[in-house]
Amino acid sequence: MINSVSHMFFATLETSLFVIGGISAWYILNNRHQVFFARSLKIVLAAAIAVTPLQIYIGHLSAEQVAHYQPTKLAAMEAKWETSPAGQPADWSLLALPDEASQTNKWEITIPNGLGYILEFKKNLSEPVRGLKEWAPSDRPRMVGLIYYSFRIMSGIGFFLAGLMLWSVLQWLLGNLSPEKIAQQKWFLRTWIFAAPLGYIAVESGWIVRCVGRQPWALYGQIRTADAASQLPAGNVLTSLTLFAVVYSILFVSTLYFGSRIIRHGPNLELPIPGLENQLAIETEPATFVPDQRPVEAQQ
Amino acid sequence: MDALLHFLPQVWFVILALFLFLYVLLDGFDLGVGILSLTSSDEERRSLLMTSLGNIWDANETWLVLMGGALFGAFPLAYGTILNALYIPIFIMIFGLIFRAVAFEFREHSNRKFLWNFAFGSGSFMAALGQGFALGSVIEGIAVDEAGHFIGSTWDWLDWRSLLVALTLIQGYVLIGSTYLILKTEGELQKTHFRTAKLAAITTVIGAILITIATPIVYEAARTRLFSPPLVYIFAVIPVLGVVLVGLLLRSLNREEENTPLIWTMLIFLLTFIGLGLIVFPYIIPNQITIYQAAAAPSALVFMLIFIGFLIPIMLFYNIYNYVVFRGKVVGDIYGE
Ligand code: HEM
Repeated sequence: MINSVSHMFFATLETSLFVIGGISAWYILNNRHQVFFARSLKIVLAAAIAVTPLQIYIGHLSAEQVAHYQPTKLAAMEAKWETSPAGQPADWSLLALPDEASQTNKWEITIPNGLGYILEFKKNLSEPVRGLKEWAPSDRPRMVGLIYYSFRIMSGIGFFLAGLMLWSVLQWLLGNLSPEKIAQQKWFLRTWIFAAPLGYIAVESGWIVRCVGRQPWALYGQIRTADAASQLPAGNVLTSLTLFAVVYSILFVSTLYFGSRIIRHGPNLELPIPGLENQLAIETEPATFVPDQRPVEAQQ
Repeated sequence: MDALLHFLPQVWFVILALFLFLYVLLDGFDLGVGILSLTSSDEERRSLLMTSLGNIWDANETWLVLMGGALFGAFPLAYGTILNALYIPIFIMIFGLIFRAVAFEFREHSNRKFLWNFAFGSGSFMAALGQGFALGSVIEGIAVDEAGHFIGSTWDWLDWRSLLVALTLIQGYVLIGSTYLILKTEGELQKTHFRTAKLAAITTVIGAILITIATPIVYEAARTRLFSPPLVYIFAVIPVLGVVLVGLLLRSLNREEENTPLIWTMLIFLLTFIGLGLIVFPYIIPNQITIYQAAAAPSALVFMLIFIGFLIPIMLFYNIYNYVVFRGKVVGDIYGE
């Protein structure tokens, strides 16, 4: 419980951090308010130093919890059909094409002996890891491929963001993040922009792992989703779901539209800092300040 | 133990009633202002209307969220049944609220303000309409089996009685919205809302009278309950008080007083609410399921009570503080700054 809550909590933190980081990088790359945004990028980075590794670690704890309480989910996350007995090493699947009809993976790239290291940091498993075939098909999740790849996308993003953090720290130590130099780090900044939406994707994938992976249970081992569902006619639910999809798509597009407009418009650095009314934020811009270079009408 | 089994559901009934009342009162004027904005003649006026809500509307709506959560936790059976029966009206409300909420944010940045104005006004209207239908059909009663599960059909909620309740609720919201605007605005804008308040007061009263007459005629159960003691005494008093309050309201509107119309309107809402509560109690789904049948296990109720016990004062304090900070008239276009 505490793992799930903190994994979710840090997921939101990490997502927002990289959104702010991505936006900051975009401004710097476009030569706008570099001083201000170099600073905000560093604040993000400082927080990411703590958050990104912690999130991986908490994710690992969540996985241990899943292995213990929801073994069918773990088996689906790893597309594991056969049981690996205790006291032996087992391979860890890196990429695979799970096939539910034949209950095997059509092809698979594995890391030999990897599973023990991932679950217990040692070679031999001390407990058996059960494969999907141990359960009747009605007692285990379907859509194994979806769960398997969602988990890989989520953890892949987790490691990618941690890697980006390490790279950035290195750059910082090398002095390449100073306001004068940072704008030259084109690929560095582009990578940060690329990372901006990744948190959202990881969050969505995490939810898929958690909720699709839990099927056919609504409460694992207690009540099945089919029994927990309301008695509403399916048509009603389908209608409302469709409406939700439509409405949220409209809102998603509007959010992107207005969000990018606000970003392109840029911050108003002349607004007084609350509480420091007489000290203008503009004073923090040193002499090297590069003014807004867009055409005048865009600046409004 | 037996006493506890009765006491806890009653406490939760009162808590739920409190949440519902606060919600109807607060989001009531909020939605009312939204509906009124549909008739605003120009952009500047509409901006003022939205400014008057800008800082409070989301705090108002938290009471709805809290009520949904409390109903789910305390009376899970009722939650399941009511949401099944009222699926469509509740969705009308939810979509209305969604459009309204984003309109606040997007209108400010948009060049096509009319789109978001429409989303704001019609969203408010939809939300009020959905709530009215929901209220109407809960009062009418919901078809359930012995276990308390919904057995009616998708469109059960729609008939002339629930339509009447929905229209009356919308009038009520317009009334309380107008009186709120009387308090918050000045000049021409205020004058307009003295007029809308008067109109809405009259239509609300007509609606209320029709409902009061129709309910005992159509529903056996309501009739027997209403005309037997002790309720009969209370229900002799409520209409009298109602007439007095409406009289006071109309007088304050005629005298163009600024603060009192809102106060009288709130008291009218309170009176109506007490009346409704007394008819419904001890049922959570009128005449079908009592609060004792629908209640969750006592341990769950106690646990949530401790939690809610901390939350209610904090929320009330925050809500009040919010109103104190943003007291006074809205002037100019400070919305969104
Ligand atoms: C190597 C890195 C990661 C590992 C090992 C990991 C592991 C897990 C596991 C095992 C679950 C399922 C928990 C359950 O079903 O009880 C999960 C869920 C989830 N993960 Fe991750 N995760 C990682 C990175 C991330 C990142 C970077 C994010 C987002 C920024 C993220 C967001 C989520 C979310 C939102 C859920 C669903 C939580 C819920 O519904 O309560 N994860 N993760």
